[in-house]
Amino acid sequence: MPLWLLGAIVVVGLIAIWVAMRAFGYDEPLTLDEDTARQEFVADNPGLDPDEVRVSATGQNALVRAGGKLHVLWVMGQDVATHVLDAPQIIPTNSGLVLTLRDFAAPRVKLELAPEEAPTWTALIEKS
Amino acid sequence: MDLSQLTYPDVVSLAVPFFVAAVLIEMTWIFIARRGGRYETRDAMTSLAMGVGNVASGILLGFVTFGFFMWLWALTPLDLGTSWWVVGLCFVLDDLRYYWVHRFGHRVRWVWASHVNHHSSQHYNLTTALRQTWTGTFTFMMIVRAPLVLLGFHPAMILFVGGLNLIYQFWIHTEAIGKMPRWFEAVMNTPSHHRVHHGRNPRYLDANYAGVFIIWDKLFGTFVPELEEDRPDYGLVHNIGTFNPLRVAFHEWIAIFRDWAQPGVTWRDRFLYAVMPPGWRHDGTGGGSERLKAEYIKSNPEQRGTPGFEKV
Repeated sequence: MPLWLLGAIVVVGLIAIWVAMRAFGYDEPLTLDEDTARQEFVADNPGLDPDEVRVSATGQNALVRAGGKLHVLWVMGQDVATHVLDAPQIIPTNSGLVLTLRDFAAPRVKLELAPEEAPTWTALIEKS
Repeated sequence: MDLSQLTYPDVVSLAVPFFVAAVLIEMTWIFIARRGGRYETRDAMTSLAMGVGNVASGILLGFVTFGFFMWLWALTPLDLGTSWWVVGLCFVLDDLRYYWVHRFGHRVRWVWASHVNHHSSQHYNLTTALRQTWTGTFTFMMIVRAPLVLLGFHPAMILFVGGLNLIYQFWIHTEAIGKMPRWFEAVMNTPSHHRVHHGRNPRYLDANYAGVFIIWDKLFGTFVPELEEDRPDYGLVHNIGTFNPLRVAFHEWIAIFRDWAQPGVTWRDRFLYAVMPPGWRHDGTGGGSERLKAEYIKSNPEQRGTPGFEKV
């Protein structure tokens, strides 16, 4: 198959798939509650049992204390990712906070928080 | 026989329209039936970007593998010709080769660094099949195919059957199909068997490496059946937090280099960081699938001896 034809099929195919996913509502994000956050954390960190789970008002992030360390959990589409917090840089933004992590896969985590939550979360993370 | 000009169709490129159509059909089916899997826009687009990058890396770096095979072909005195039975035998032996490369891909971190991206989705649908590596050439696993060339299988034939193998594996990346007929499940790799392979449940770690024929796993003791009471939870043991294809493609390579650059590691440690299973740490704090299985059995002793925990 000529490269130009393969390229054209790929481009048209990607656009068609993207349009279909948007039409079907496949970009609806997960919303966390405490139980969901706890279950997702345990699934992603085998052997760690959360002592405390604090979910943001937006339902998009959580702070989890487990194994004597503070972890951040954030929604990625319909699933989550988690990361232990080890003195991250904290950058305030209009919608919450940005944390910088020492991880090539996830160097920055955007936390969407209610305005009144940002100072509390900042203090908790700074203490971690 | 002069096989210098032997060519076979590029079956993977020819299958691309089928891949696109099948993805559209699967996601529509899931939307209508409200069962049979999950799709998430960014996850699926990341998988598709990885697929496109895999084709691009093949175009850019394919000459390395093909050049290596042609060099071996010039060395070998054997030539099995191009009969259909030879193509069939080549397909079966190449699938055995795939089993071992895939097993190395999970048990040797240098190879895992390339393969990990295929497991980095938390979804399991047809786009996951296309979440392929960009860095396979750097694992040097083409060496495992060298015996086939030296036995007299032409390099073009080996790459042709490898393409067929890849196409076969596309359709098994789905939750829309439950189980196939028993005779088929006994011999062939199926959606059920491969869901196990993508599960991060302790029971399912390091299982079902097969490409086309599940018999290799049964022969080499790595087969675990899918259990109704332990549905696969897809993704990595600890998932990566990105949809960025560049980060997906290179994160484990960067992690290896960072482990090498730690203060206090010896050259022996650096070597072991490359060849030991994922999770190994030089200070003994790490642990791979064996530790996870053992910890699970400690908390769930009634599961000892059940599928996936026979050796714990």
